[in-house]
Amino acid sequence: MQVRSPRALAIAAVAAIAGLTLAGCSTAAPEKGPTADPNAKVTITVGEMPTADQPAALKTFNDRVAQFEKKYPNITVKGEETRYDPSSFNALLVGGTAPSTLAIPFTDMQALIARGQAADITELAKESSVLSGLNPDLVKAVTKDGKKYGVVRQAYEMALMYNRALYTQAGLDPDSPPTDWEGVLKNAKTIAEKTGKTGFIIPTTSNQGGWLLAAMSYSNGSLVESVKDGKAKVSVDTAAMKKSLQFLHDLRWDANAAGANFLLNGDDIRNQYAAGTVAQTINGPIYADVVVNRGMKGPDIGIAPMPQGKDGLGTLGGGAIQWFNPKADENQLAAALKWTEFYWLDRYFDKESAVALASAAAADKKPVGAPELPLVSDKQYDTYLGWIKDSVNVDRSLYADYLGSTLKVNAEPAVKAQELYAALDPIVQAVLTDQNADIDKLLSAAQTSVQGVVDAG
Amino acid sequence: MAELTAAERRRTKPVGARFITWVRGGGISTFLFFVPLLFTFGYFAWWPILRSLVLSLQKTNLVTEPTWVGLNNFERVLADPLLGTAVANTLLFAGLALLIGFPVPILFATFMAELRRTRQVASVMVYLPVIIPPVVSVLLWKQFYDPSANGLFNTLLGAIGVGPLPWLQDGNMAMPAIVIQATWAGFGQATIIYLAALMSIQSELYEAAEMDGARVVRRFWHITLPQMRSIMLLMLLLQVIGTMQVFTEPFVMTGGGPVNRTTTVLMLIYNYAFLQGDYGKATALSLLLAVVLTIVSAVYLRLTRSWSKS
Repeated sequence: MQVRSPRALAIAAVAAIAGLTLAGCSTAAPEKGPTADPNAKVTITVGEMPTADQPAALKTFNDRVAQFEKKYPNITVKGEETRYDPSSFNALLVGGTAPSTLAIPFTDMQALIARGQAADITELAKESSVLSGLNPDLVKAVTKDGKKYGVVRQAYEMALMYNRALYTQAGLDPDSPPTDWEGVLKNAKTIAEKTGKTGFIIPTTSNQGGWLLAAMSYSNGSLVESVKDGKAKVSVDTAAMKKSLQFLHDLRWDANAAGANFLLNGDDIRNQYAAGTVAQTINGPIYADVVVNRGMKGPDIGIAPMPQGKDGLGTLGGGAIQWFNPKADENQLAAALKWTEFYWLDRYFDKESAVALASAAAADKKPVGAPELPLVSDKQYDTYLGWIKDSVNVDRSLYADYLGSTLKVNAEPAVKAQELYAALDPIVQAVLTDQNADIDKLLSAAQTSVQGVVDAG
Repeated sequence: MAELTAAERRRTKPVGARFITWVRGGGISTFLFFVPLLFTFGYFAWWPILRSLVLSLQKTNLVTEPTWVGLNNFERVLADPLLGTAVANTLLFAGLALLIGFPVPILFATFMAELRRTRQVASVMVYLPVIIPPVVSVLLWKQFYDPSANGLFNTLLGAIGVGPLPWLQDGNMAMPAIVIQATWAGFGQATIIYLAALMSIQSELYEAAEMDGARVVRRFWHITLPQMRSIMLLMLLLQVIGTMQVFTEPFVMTGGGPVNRTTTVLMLIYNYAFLQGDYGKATALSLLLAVVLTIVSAVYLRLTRSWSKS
């Protein structure tokens, strides 16, 4: 036997490395100071800086940054073009390169809070007057156990998006969109027959099928989850859900109006909607996105309140929340909160910023005045609309029904929403790809598996 | 008493003297050449593996403090109802890829070996699909697989009277469709390797067989295949290891659908890590996969030890 065995050395080396790994493995979040020092010099990074192909908006952004830095000389703001992208967000956050603040969609907020990936800004928010002027219903979306984790800066309620041009082409009246699901089915069939385009379709992948199916379930009379005494009860095995799936089944197999492609995510649907190959879908009022990024013409966009079944509960709410980086220190969080108020929310209270931002957007040929839910009281919002009326380039009269809708806006499931949606995606796909799909069996299997996931915590 | 051999004399010298001899023999410069390699592999390969071992024993989102949970992640992974589906789909992909994708390069290489002037051109053509970036090639084929009557493949099939096929929309067709694309994208690489192996087979063997009256198929079966056995066995193992880790194709083409018929183990890992933010479960499943592949490789190599040319 060899005296100094190389193998023994190798084992010792691996053990040493392993020991070092274990010793150094707990990466604690940076120590947070007890309170924020309002005068400390601090640098923050902010997302959603306009890209170079929007020169007017970029100039306004830089002007606003300069004004902000003049108002708060100790804060330096660095802009980034980073936008929220679910496939890379986690990696950015974990790698430490996520900005101090970024807008994320409503659907992801509760999951981030549950995972400890959103900063607690309760104390900081208390000191702000702007934040207390916001619509209190919307604040629920960013609250958990009485603590606040973000600021809602854009809100909408889900709508029936339809193509006015296709309606006209099929002989339907674009000013009277359907108000119930039977009407949607009828119109979808007519459009498919007369124009050959897809009458109605929803996304079916990336958890978006489940998200919209949940919205349909709300409109047919049941929520998908209720929380009582801290325990969440999932309810997907309901008559309302069955009705929604039956609608999709009839759309696909009886009316043949669902198109040919059933593995679509939200992006695909928006592309097809903008291109005029999909006549109706449900989504938030994606006006700006389809006009700016996908070449749709404003007057072709139809937005109607969510169709309701008998006993419908209203619609699902959504929007953008300004999220704050849990890896940022207290001073950076305070600065980021001030920036959020200054850049995103001041416009509703300050005429000068409202006009500056609106006219820059109009100069860049971006839609101004697209339908949305007011973040502030209705009165304040009307005042805001009055300030920017010269820049408004969207014909809001087309959307009077949606804007005046009194449908209740419901929140998303509070616990494990993404897992719930992920379990519903395959059911939507099954109904659309298999004529003999057993809806009852699929729903009861999903009920069991999602309740299991929710209970496991 | 027997004389000590040179090696034994070297081994029993005191440590200090051995070290000096090593340095004098150019040991330091050798070591310096070795250090970058050590560093690169250590930092990018071995350290992450150790780290993932640690992560698999923690409940962590890599932002807040992790908590030690022992084997809980492994339990949760094994209890996931989707795991069975994912494993079955992965095995189906690997199996189909073996059935369809393994013989194709061998046949192509055999055919190309017969070419004289056009072999270079054929090599380039065959390798072109490999050069196309994987995501681009998958997206391209996704378009080809458009299920409407106007989709590229459906138009071609329509010309010979075959009805529009659902391709990726149908649970039974989706995986084979993905395998066809993966085969197209990857066969060039194996073909070139087999071609090189074929070129090294002695032509006397073929001449002798021809003189004995063996025709093409018999020559292929009795000379070509046995001579290529060792490289074929190696390629088979590499293919199995590679196909068990398939991710890009199902992720981009179908997102795991329809109805989870194309969800693979790697896609589950991706979901755990980046959609659920649960890095503990993701690394636990990765480790389980790595262990399974290691066992498969070890068993395979042991069984085929006697078959390959030494």
